[in-house]
Amino acid sequence: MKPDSKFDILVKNTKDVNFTLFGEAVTAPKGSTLAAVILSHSGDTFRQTETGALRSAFCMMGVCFECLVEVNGNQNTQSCMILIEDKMVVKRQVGLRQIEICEND
Amino acid sequence: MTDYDIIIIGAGPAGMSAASVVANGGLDVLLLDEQPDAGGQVYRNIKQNETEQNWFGNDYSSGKHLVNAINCNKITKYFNATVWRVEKNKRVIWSHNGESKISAASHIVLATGAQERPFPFPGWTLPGVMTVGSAQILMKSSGIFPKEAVLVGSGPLLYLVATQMIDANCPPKALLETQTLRMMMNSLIHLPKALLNMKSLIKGFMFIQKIKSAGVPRYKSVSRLKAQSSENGSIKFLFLHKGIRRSLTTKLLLIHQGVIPSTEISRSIGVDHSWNKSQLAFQPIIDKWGKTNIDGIYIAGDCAGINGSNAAVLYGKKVATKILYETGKVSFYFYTKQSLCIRTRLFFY
Repeated sequence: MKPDSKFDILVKNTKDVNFTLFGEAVTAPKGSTLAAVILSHSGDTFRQTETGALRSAFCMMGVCFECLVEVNGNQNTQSCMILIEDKMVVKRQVGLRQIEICEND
Repeated sequence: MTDYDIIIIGAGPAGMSAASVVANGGLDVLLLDEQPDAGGQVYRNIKQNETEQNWFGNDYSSGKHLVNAINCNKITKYFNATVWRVEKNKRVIWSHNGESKISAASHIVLATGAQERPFPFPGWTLPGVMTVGSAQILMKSSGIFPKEAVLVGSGPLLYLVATQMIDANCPPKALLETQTLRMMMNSLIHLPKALLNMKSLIKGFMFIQKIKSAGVPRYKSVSRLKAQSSENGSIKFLFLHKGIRRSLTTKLLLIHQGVIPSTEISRSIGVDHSWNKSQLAFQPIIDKWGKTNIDGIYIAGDCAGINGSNAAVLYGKKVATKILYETGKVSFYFYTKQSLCIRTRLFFY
């Protein structure tokens, strides 16, 4: 079961953005940072480190790199530094970023 | 190749005030910031928050004129911009929307501000442990407020955010202060200078009064901090208070231990730094004009030592006035008069 959010939404904004968060369709106010939406949506963690530890956003200002998620296939995206957009697909990041090796003959 | 007269990194209080002064003096400015909008951390999201919400107080609203002042055709602004290299020959290499750019100028002003001091203790990386500053960012930029949070640490921001949470009807569950009586006694030496800034002292006093009258439990001189994860994503926070081991269970533990200058860029260029004993942080060595040991590279605001947003505005103006004089845009008379006026006001910070 998904834990409850640790935050209360006090300011309701009507301009909505629809996107996919951790496999779920989500609607959130335009102009929000992705990290803020993840935090207000539920108490779910953002990522799992290489050693298996669970992590969530920590500084919210781009300093700590704890809030990394995968956005539209781009891993290691700092969710506190980007705003949500329509049709964005956000996945939880597990382990280190994977590097694609192109094998060209 | 010179694209601009001046590149300013950071659109917080210092960067915005420096940008508007040099632009008014006739220089072409490139202003870069990594956040989605101007304001820095202190005036974050000020454009959107100017309406109904008064949780953040008058000091916050005062940032509005700074943000308006940078809307000027002499200032080219980029937000969501990541500066990843600054060279001694005054080239700045940065990315915006996935594209790399190189810009050059005769002067560079670093106004990168401050960040919260890392405050490690066992369990500080657990989900559910965040910084007090991060909670304030969420309040300012997203209108979301912490539920029954426990605040722990030291420094003015701890009390400011506690009062803002009380005003927004989401009071903290408890406030835990790490400073000891001995630390308080040791800081008495600064009292005479602090009396010059009576306004801040009164403000601090009002914060404490508000926290007291809201009935938020306070634990002073806490130590031996430890966070453990508890059921349903909660945090069990253990600490020592007056010789007794206590624990509190909370959804959200907000920690804070003051702020330190953000010196990543100045250190990477090779600017000389020194240890500030009273603020317990490294800071760049600058002269009274904000000049570093590298020709043409200037530093203004909290990234040169923590003095707060009002002082940062003045430091930004001072650096800007110096650059205007050096580029022959203002007379020696104007420059001396202006700097004397700024330095007199800075004496009170």
